Amino acid sequence: MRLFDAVRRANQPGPPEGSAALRLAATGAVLVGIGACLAEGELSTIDALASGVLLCTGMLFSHLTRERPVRWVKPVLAAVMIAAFVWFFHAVSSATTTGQAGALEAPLAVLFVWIQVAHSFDVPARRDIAFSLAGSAALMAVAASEALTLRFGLFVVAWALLALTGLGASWASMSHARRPAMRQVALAGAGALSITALAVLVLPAPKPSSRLVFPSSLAGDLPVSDPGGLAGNGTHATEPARAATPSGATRVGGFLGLAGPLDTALRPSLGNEVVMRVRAQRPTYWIGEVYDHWNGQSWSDPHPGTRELTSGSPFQIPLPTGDTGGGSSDLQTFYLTVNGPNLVFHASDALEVWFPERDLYVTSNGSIRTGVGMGAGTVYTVLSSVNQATPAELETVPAGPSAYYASPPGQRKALPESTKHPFTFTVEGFAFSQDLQLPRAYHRASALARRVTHGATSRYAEVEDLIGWIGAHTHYSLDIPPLKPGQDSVNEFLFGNRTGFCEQIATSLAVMLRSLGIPARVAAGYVPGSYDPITDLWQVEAKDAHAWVQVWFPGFGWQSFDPTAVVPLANPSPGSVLLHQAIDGLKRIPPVPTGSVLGVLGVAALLYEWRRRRPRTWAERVARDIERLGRRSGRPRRPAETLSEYATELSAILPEERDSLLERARRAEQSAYSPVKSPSRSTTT
Amino acid sequence: MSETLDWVRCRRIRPVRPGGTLVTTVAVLLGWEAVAHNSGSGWVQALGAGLAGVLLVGLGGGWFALRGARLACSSSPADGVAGLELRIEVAASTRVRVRPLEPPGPEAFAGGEDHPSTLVLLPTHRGAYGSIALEIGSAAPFGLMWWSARVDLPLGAELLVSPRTGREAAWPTHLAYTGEQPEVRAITDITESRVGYHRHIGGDPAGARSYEHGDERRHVHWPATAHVGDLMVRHHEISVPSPPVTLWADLPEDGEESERMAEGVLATVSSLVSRGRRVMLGTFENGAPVLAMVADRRQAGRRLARAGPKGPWHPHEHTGPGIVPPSDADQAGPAR
Repeated sequence: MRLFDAVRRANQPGPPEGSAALRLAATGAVLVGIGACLAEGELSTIDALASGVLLCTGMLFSHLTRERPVRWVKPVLAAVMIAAFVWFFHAVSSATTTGQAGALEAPLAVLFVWIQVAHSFDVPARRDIAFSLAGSAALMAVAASEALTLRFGLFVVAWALLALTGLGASWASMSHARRPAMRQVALAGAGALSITALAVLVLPAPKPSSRLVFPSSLAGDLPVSDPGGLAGNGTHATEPARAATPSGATRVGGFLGLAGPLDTALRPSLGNEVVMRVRAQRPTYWIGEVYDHWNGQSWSDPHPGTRELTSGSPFQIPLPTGDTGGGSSDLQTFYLTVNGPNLVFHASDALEVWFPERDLYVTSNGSIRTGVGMGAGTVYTVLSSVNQATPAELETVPAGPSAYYASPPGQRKALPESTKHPFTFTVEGFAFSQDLQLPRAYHRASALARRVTHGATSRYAEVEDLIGWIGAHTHYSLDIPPLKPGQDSVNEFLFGNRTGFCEQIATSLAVMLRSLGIPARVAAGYVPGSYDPITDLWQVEAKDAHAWVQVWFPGFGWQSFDPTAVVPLANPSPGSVLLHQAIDGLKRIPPVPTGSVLGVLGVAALLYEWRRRRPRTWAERVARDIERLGRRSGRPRRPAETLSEYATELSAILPEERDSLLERARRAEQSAYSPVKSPSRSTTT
Repeated sequence: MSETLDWVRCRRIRPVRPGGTLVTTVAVLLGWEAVAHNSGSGWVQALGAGLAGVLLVGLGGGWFALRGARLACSSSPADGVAGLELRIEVAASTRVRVRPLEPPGPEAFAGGEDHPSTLVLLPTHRGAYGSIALEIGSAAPFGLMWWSARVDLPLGAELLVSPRTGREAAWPTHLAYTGEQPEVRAITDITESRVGYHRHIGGDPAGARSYEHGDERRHVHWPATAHVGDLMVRHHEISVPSPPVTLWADLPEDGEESERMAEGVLATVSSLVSRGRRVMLGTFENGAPVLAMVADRRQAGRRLARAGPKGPWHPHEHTGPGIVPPSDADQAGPAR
């Protein structure tokens, strides 16, 4: 009975709330929440508009009937809410049965919104309005779960201002004050902001690994001419990414790779355009394509052993040939912001992929390709295995062109050594020939590599020696002329100007390693980019495109090395740097805000000039009119002339205006100099 | 804010029933953080941090508001009657809820836009108040959790709350009738007798005398004035005042019984005064006897407001001219 009484007491309606400020703030907060859900794609425009209108209507209805609630409203609202829940469970069960369990946020947002709408028709008391305010927080949370950019911050700021105002109005109403103490609310807001900033600094980054379902969605559904191949090999105009040309950027930010062969002859200027955002447990290099065929200027991946996976999401990715597997798992979700290549990026080795298509293609060296192009807005999740061995472990692999069975550590067996070029040997059926392939005998590069690695006792030492030599003897620069057709980029880089960019640096290391009989290949993708602590996403820009080297270590698989990291920047020419900086600076200026500010400033300057020049008195205006008339008649006013003198002179030229001119000049002078103002200046004007 | 007022600050500020609020807040924040952290959404976590900031400020804001609040009584009455409301004006530096505890009264809000705020007191018992006990509360800035503190707010002047006027028949044996006792004056230094002396004209006509400054014009004896040639006034033979009734209010320790007895004493005094009798009221203030004339109900009420139980006082130590010990009064019968 006590429980029943407590429940009855808790459900008793509170006193009618008359604070319009509180009600308006709560309504605004819910509207902002609806807007945020709309902006994040969790509500349709129709839903958002209808719910917004109904919400305002409901709040107005509640305000008007707060003293005498209408009896039939509650049953109707209860029925609406039950219907909303039934619809929600139906939507959820449908999504689950169709394998789209990741798309629960949208039905949840719709459910929250319609609960708010139904509730808005029965909000007589302060407690009910507080529920609306709290409900708006839930709406914001649902929208925030899908927010990927800082643009969502606009909604957060607007919602926070309204929520703080509403809370302040709640206290004002509670304390029978006529209006909220805005100074107190502002102080409290500043305090809350400080605590928020502290909490953001202290809290660990969110981890996506414990989600039950992983996001994946496909936007665009662009056709690829060669299923299993790279988009860009064909000529289809609507392909999501096309092979880059020296003069123009492709749709993946201008990088000469990822959509076809990786041309090392030149590197177009890459922009700051965000190509994708990545939610990951740890930063790493995002591998898109691994190239193993080198022709002297370009890398390519002929993908002879491409397998088609038809299992559907999640796709189980087979271990690439020669890799040992193992290592720590790492989960990444990629959000494409531009049309991208048909490559599934991943960290190290991909194990599972969540992608909303029935088909995926995996090459023998681990590159994952989709059968359709991925437009902006595509989302996919990859579970990767990061098999990064420590230097001490890698030191156990002896130097030289030796190979080991890919067997568990401690059970390695030396293979018969092959010392002659081309190095071709097998490890449990794995053919290394492709990863030792060279188009010609690089005698100078090979000699250089042998000289540099002389005395190295391990393969790791050999790699590090070569990287150290590159770092000590070459420079990094994007500002170099493109190579001529047929010119070998390795020879040009190592023995020519010794200045180049990441593709040339990585290629030189890979070729030198191959010349030593060490399997090596070039991986292309993106460096992690910049981390956004608010969205917890890595923002990958076009200029983050990168190429590095993967070296095979028996027993440890393919290990990544980035020789570019140790290469110092080339000594630039000041003029070139200044020009580039100026151009880059101009590119960074956002056109719309800057243009708006400049426009407003220009209009303000024009207004100021107009006000400064306009005649301040009636007499001055009349004098200007007469002067303008005189100028048009070819008789400008002399500096020493009084207005009457000038009008007299003008009347000789313009006899038809004589009376008017003389009268206006007399009255203007009278107005300007006489203590008695002209009584009829308006008529004269 | 006037500096001439006697401002007080809140000490020992405590939350009001914080258990449910804190548990709910912690549950909401932990739940939110768990969802945000495991969903891998930075924005949800940032929103949760913002929510934590708002909640923490909202929960703790009342403490800061009370910590900085200053209160003063800007106006208060000198007299009151138990059971009847009386109003005082309170100035506060910030918006706070004020609940009078002693004497009690309905809660009100003071500060903010109201300068000053009126506070209604509803004293249930007589008493003399140099200050009033208030419970000050605040849930600023968001109304999420109340904090309160008890303060003693000094009044501008002592507030004397007289007892209700009880039933005359209820007066007990502690009232004494002294018969032909001559005029009695206060016997202690702490008496606050307000009995005044004023020129009184009364009795039988006894002739005429010369006009003195202050004589009323209607008492001028015109025939005598015409006869003497100087302004003459009627001369009356002043009658001997009737002997005062001396009442001793020897109130018991028990509060309610004491209150009832004080009400009876006040009723008796009022009745006697209304019948033209002079009343000498004896009370005990801080245990010491005070005996003085009371001219009206108001004076009696003031005396009874301060009156308390008899302290360690022995009548033989304080006997002297005019003293009517309680024991004598006890022996006398009730006045009618």
